[in-house]
Amino acid sequence: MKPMELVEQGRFLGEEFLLWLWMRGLVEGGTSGLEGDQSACFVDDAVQLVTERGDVKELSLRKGNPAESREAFEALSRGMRPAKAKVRLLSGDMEWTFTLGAAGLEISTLKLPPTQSKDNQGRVADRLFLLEEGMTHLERRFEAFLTVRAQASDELLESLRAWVRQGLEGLEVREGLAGAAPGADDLPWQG
Amino acid sequence: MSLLQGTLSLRRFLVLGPVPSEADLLEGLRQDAFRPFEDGLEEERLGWCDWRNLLITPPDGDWLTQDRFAIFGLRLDTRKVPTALLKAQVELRLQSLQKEKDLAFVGKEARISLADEVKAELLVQVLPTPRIAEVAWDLKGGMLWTTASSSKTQSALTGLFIKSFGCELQPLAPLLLAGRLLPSVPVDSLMALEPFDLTLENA
Repeated sequence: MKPMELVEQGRFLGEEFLLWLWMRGLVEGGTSGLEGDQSACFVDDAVQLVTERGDVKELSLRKGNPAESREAFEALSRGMRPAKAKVRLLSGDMEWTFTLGAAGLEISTLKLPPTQSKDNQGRVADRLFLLEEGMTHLERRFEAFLTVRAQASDELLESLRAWVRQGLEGLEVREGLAGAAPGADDLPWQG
Repeated sequence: MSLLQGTLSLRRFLVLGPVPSEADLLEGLRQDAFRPFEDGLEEERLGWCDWRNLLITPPDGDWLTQDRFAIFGLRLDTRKVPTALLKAQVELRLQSLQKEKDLAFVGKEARISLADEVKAELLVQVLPTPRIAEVAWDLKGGMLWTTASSSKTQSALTGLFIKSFGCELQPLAPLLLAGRLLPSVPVDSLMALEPFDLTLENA
C-alpha cells in the first residue's frame, strides 16, 4: 500500500483518538487511565470538525471553551468528526501545547516546556528530550485508545455516544459537579 | 521556528532501511550537499546543509550528531523571474531584433529561444528564496522528525533521503504508529474496523 493510502485508511483512527482525548479530558480529568501515569491531556481552545455530509463541511471553533460548547456537541451529534484540535499536555510542572491533526497525527505550533541551556548544542539536546517526552505521553495514550478500540469497540462507542448526548443536553460533563471539583493539590498531573 | 527555539511544526517518519555508519552518513550529506544556482534556466535547487546555518554546506560533521540523533537541514532554493518583467524584456528584445535584421516577423522557435536567453540572463540577477526544513534522525529508534510541513517539501525530503542514504521514509500516520505500538494487534484488523458513527437520531 502506498504511504498516502495508508494515511487515508487510518484517518478515522486519528479522528477517534482526538475524540477519545477530548472525552477523557472532560470526564476523566485528562488522565490516560494507565497505572502510574501522572500526566493529563486536554483538548484546549481550538477544535476543527469536518464532515462529508450536509451543508456545512467544516466547522472551526476557537477561543473561549469550544471543547465544552453546545456547538461542538451539536456538530458531533450530526456526525461531524474532529480533524484537528489544540491539545494541552501536563506532566509535573511541564506543559506542552500543540495542534494535533487527525489524518497523520501531525503536530503543529508545538510549544515545548522551557529549557535552561544557553548554548546551541545544549538547547537542541534539551528540546529533543522534551519533544520525545511529550510524544511519549501522547503515544501512551494512543496505545491505550487503540487497545480499547480493538478489544472493546462496542463499549467505547457507547461511552462516546453517551458523552455526546450528555454534552448536547447541556448536562455537567466534567467529573463531579462544580462544588466537588478537585483542589489544585489533588490534580493527578501535579506530580 | 526551529529545533533551536520557538514553536515547532513537525512531521514524523519511520525510516526503513539499514542505518548508515557515521562515515556513510557524512558521505551521503556531502554527495548531495546544497549547491548554489549557476547559469541556466533552473528555478529550484535542493540539498543538505548544516542545521545551524544554511550557508554551511555540507553539514559540519562536528555538529551533526547529538546523542543518538543526526541533525541536519534540507535547503530548498527557488528563483523566479517575475512574469511581467520577463514578458516586457522579451518584447523589447524582439523589437530590437526585428529592427536590426529588418524582419517583418519572428518565428515561434526563435521567439522561444530568445525568451529562454532573456530568462537565463535575468535569472542570474534574481536572488534565490531559501527555505530550510530541519531534520532530526533518531538513528537508533529508526524515526525521523522534520519541520518540513508542506507536502512538496516532504516529497523533496523523501526523494533526496533515499538517494543519499538508501533509506525509505514512511509518514508515521495512525495505522503505522499502531503497528509499531501494538504489534500484537494486526494492522489488517485495525483497517477492518468500521469508523464510529456518533450521529444521534434526534439531533
